Amino acid sequence: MEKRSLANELAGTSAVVLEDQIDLLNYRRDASVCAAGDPAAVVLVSSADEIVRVVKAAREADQPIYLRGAGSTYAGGANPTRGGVVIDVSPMNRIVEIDRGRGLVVVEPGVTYGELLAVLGRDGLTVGIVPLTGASGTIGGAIASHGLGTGSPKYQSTGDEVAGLEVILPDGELLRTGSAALAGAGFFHRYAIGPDLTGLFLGANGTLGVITKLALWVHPLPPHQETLTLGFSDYAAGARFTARAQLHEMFRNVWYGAGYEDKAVAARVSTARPDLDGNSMPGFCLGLDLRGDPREVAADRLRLIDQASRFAGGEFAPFDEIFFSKLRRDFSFWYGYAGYFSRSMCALLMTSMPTETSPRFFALVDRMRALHSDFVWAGGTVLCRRGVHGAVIMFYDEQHQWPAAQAAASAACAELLAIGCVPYKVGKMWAPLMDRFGTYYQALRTLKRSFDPKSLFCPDNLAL
Amino acid sequence: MATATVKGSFLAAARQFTENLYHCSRCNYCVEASWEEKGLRHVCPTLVNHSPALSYSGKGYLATARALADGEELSAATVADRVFACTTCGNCEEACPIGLRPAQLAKAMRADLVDHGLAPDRVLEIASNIASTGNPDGLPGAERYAWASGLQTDSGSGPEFLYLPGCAACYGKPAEARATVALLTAAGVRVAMLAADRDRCCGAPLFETGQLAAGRRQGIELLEAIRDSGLSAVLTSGAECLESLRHHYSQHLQADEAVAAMHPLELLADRISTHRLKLVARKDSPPPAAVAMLDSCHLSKKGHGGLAETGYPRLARTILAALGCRVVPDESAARFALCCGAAGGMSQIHPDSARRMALGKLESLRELGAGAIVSASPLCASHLERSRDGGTTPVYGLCEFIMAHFEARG
Repeated sequence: MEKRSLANELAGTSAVVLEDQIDLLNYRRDASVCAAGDPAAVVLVSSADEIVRVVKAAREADQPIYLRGAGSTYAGGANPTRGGVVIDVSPMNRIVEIDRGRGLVVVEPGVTYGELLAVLGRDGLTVGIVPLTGASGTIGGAIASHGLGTGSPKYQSTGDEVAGLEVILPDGELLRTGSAALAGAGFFHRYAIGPDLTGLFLGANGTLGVITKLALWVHPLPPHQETLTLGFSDYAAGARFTARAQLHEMFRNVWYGAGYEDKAVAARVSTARPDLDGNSMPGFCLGLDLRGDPREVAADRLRLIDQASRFAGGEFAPFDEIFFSKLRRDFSFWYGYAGYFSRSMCALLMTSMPTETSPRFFALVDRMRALHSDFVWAGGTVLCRRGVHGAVIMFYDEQHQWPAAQAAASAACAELLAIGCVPYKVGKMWAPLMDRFGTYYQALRTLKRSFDPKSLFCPDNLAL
Repeated sequence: MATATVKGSFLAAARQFTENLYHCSRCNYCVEASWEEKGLRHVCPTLVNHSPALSYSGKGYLATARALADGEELSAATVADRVFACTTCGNCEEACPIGLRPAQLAKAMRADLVDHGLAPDRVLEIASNIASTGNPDGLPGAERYAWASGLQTDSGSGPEFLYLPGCAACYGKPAEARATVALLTAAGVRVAMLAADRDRCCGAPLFETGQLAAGRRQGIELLEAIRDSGLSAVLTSGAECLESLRHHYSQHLQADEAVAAMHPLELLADRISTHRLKLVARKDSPPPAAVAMLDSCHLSKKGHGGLAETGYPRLARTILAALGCRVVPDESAARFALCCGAAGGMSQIHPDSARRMALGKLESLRELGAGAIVSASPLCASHLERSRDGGTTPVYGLCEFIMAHFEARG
């Protein structure tokens, strides 16, 4: 893009335009294994108006636009693979309104979950879903790329907690979704008027518009937290227990749940507790983070242990003491994963599946381990209200293995589809496989052509 | 004239961090993160007060060094501009969940730039000031010990400790230097000082700005003066001086040149807790009920030669609590406290940004509603005092505060 056109469009605003090579280095990629891009410029924006101006300049110059918050996601959505301009929304970090009457908070996309939780916490409130990278992760980034984490067993997906959006469309028009479509009405009901347009932008990785405001439901901050780890003989027993507990709403006070491989359990427990018999380790552990009224939590705890016993499972305290309870109180929770992050990079393939599929998912992780032994593989599940997310984690040495790691991760994506795991975070990681989704993908392409005929918004994401 | 560029071969000192370059998980914790329970709210003072461009952050230093290591060529001036805008506070390293060392990398890149003659003029001025006057700000060397005029130290049985006040105390917070000697004397600690013409900058600003050869020269001169004093135990008020004496000298001089050095508050905490130093509130100048603690990054964050392991934030609060003062925030806030901009060469290289950092710090401390701001670091205290915008909350050194509001009874 002509330097002058961006500068002219943004004259008199507080936007910061970065074009020095050194300033662009951090905008080439996100945390994924995906290929990096090479942007021509970065604009740090502070308002929706500034975004409209950048969009106008980009449209006139036929240059693509990519969007970025913290750049901490694992699917390549922020990577500017076709160059162009990166819009960094992190300076749009105002908490616009906490509306207690309507039970929601309106934020700009650059607000981090850490900041929002701090502010809401003072009022005894919280939001439903907080990604594992929440201290630094932006709300806009999480919503645009299908975040998950704390709150998923109770509220399912980040998208389910969105009451409405304000979005700048590729033609520069401002769209407000749900009840806010009526001028002056504001956000209070997502499913208003007609079809749910909010959903078009959730997990869309910026391909259909730039989110400039988000309304999220708020909830009372639970007064009490404790953890419980259940152990089962194998994945199948764990899956049967989980499905039953989900159906009967036994996870009503569970804010986070994670399923751990036998290898992960054995490695951690046997290192810390060599006195324990290695043969008595569970084949699968489900760590649960319970929050709520202390009496309700205590009752749920007993009920869950009792229910687990019907599937030949039970409480497995050593793993909870050694690992799970500590991690649930640590703000660097995710990055503490077995210490691997300090030695290597991580490719993360995030999927969704019905609970019954999880044994096959763990078997696939074992298969990947055997097929691609140059990398360290791990698998884990994150509990949802219904179904689970499955995370295939592959650690690699980026200095020497990056292209090989990309190939191995792509192979794993194809294998995951074959066993019925569907991608949750698509970005560019799963883009080559989008044609596997048939008419869904065709409909998405039709929408893209209608919204963004020049394909300027985040091209390559979701293969759009 | 062609613009100077640098590429991978330029990295020498920074090579020790090569693994870091390829392990950054891009979590962004070193850029912007908040976690209320841990006292983490904002991370990088340079991003907040100097430039919002990520190239000025820990993540930026990692990306810049990696680009160079991967064979890219970058403008030397832009690289220098970025790495010399770091306060070296180390908050990015505290926030990094996997223990990467971006602030140390920035310091190493500074050293590489200096070695290649690519340091900005303002950086070189620090060295020339120290060479000509013995202090980084170029203030008259003859005035270094003006604060000690008429001061009596009890050396009846021979001194136990050599007291090195440090440049910041001598020039920026002379009341702290004077109060420290008075308090130590009241506590029965026998201290001696160097002759004014032999005391000089320990080299800390040089080590922090990558001017290692000049730093070594300062270290050698000061060590010689210490040896000549006949005393092997040193007390210093300067948090940065403490890092030089305990860490830089063993790292950059000979391994056996580390000095047994302490901050006076270690001794004072001991003397107060064992009732060997009794302090009574002055009726004519009663202490405020609440005191806001300005924690020095050198004394509370890793990356400063292990000083944080001594637990200075706790010791300072213990002293004030023993005197009946309520201290805010509690010591857990020290780990992630945002830097005031005093150190790392910031106040010499980017004085306007350093002042903004100080003003931000003053505002956050004033919000705590305390009657005074206190720091165990004369550099931080004097920087805040200098940067004040007319606010009424006084800024004290720790000993200065004690002597202003308490009477010592041995």
